[in-house]
Amino acid sequence: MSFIEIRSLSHRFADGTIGLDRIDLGVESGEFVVVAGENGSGKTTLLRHLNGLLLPTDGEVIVDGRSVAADPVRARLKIGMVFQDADSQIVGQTVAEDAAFGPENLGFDRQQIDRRVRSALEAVGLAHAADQAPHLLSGGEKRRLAIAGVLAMGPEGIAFDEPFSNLDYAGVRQVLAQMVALHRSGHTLVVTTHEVEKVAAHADRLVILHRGAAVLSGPPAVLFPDLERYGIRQPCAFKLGKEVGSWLA
Amino acid sequence: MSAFEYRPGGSFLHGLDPRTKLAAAAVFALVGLAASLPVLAVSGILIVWALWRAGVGPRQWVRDLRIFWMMLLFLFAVRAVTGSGPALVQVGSLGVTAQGLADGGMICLRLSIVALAGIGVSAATRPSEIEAAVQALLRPVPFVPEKRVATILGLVVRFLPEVLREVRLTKEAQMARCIEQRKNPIARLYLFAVPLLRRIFVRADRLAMAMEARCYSDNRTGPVLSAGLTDTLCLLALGLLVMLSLL
Amino acid sequence: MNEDISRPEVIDRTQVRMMVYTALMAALTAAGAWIAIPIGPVPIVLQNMFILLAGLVLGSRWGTASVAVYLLAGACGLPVFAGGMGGIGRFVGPTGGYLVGYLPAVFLLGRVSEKRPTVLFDVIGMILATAVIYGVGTAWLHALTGLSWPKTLAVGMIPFLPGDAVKIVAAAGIARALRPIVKME
Ligand SMILES: Nc1ncnc2c1ncn2[C@@H]1O[C@H](COP(=O)(O)OP(=O)(O)OP(=O)(O)O)[C@@H](O)[C@H]1O
Ligand SMILES: [Mg+2]
Repeated sequence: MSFIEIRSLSHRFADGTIGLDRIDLGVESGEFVVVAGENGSGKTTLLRHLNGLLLPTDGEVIVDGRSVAADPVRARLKIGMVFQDADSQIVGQTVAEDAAFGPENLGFDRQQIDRRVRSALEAVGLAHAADQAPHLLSGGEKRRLAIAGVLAMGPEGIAFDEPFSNLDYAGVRQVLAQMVALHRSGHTLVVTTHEVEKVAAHADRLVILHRGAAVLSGPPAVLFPDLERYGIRQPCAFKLGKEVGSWLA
Repeated sequence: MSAFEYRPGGSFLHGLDPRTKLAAAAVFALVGLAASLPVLAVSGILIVWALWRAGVGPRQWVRDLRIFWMMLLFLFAVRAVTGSGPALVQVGSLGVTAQGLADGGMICLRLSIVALAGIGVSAATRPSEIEAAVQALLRPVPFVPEKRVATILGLVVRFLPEVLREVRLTKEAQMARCIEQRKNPIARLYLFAVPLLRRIFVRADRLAMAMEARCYSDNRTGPVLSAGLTDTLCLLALGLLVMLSLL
Repeated sequence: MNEDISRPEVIDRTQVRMMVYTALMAALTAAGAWIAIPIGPVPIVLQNMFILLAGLVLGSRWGTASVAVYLLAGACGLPVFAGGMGGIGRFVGPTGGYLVGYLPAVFLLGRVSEKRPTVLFDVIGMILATAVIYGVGTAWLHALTGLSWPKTLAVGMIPFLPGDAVKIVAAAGIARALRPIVKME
């Protein structure tokens, strides 16, 4: 069984809007999956289901063998969530306090928390900024802090919602390097984006979301020709007939 | 840097447990309201000394508390001319009396002690330590969920700069749309507040969701505080002060 | 990771949301002390409008909590009273009574506006709340200054009433626009 199993998942909002439409998707343990789609295609809605922040109106989501609806807390421990808006997920007044928020909620004792925070901040290269106020960080650093915040909880997978939005070139590279390192250390990654170009070279698989439905799934290079049809920008290199390289190169 | 902001340091005040500092501020509030002149004078000297050691000199607190001092000046003036007894100086129809001057002086001294003690806490204690102390001090109070209170306090401190930034942005946006030119004050308030609040509440929703995703819970690990010998001695001294002020 | 953890007793979504809103209204109240909108010759300060909105939008329970948190934060020396004075000093200064008055005022406003969701009840509640704030505020001012009552009111209430009327009418409209956002699903 896959690490994440999404079976015929539909979500209809209270006002009748169809957010997700019968999605079937499996994500293997250790896989790096990019979910691409235009604005309003349902990316955020889909990710929220991985953590039980939204519950299916039909179908089900299973994380590591157990239904998210039945046990959302377990799903949140298995999959850490890095939200689209980096600013509004900062809880603490210093970088270290923010990274400690998750482990504190899990009831670890203070020493364990300090150890987890230290290693999480080291992993994202923010150890030097531990006592700084988070709102003074750059955009890329804020995203990395958000990553540290979930890493400190020890998840097996991490879901990123539009991790490159509002980032400059340097910020994109920082965050991308972080994702590649996480993937290498065995984490399962689910990344939503409408900027396929930035991650394509590192992803194992690309899933295209269109009006709430998962319309295509396969190796990124194979799906490039179809992107434009679904309102997603094709990588420049692909248009020029070249191989799509890494943004880290 | 203002006197109300935490300034890192290793002074006597910095070294105290935050609970001790909150207790001290409360005791000095009592002293300020109830104590006699000698106790007030001693307390005043102690506070000014501790502040000075913590890096907040008179120049700082005179400047940063200027609105407070102006209010005290107003109080002093009012008191000076409303006292009873023979007038020392006549200003128009108002007479400045000796009793009025003495009353005014005492009230100002009392209130300054309370205010300066408060500065001592802000300048030498991190906000997170203050939250920890509040949580610890509220624990025995029934019906108060102290962990949640501490979380909310932390969120207030976290939100404040963000709110101020949003306020500035909203004002700029309004200027760009010439809303400042509107005559109707009600419409102006409405057009200022609704977009501001709407944006801020959307942010709050996202924050709540992020907290939920990180398993925000009631059995979360609390902060660790440790009081030492100095704290015990300070508490004893504070107890003495309380007795002296109530005598 | 294989350290043992006890299962977190996660807090219900609505509760977390209300806690965040409570903190937010407290932060707005703190910010409101600095926000002045120039209307006519005198700028009006928005703090008491945010107090009224806390009662209207969050209701008696959470509205009172937000004011209590604001006062508690200030009393403990958290930097929410900055911009001229801080800590407990704010409570004992001449304007301290108004601050303390916020607490019963918001509770009362919340109770009244919860009775019936109409503009009329909102406005009645706000008028009562404003009366409570001035009652406590001027009583302290009177005690501290020793001024006669007519003079106390002339200094500590009358000049602000026109501004308060504007704020009450505006707050009634703002609350109507805001409630659907804050309303729980
Ligand atoms: N609470 C809600 N109530 C009603 N409709 C909603 C709600 N949240 C989202 N939607 C709608 O559901 C659809 C999917 O939204 P979603 O936010 O998941 O898209 P997205 O792919 O993340 O878009 P973006 O790229 O803009 O972030 C959109 O049409 C959106 O308007
Ligand atoms: Mg989205």
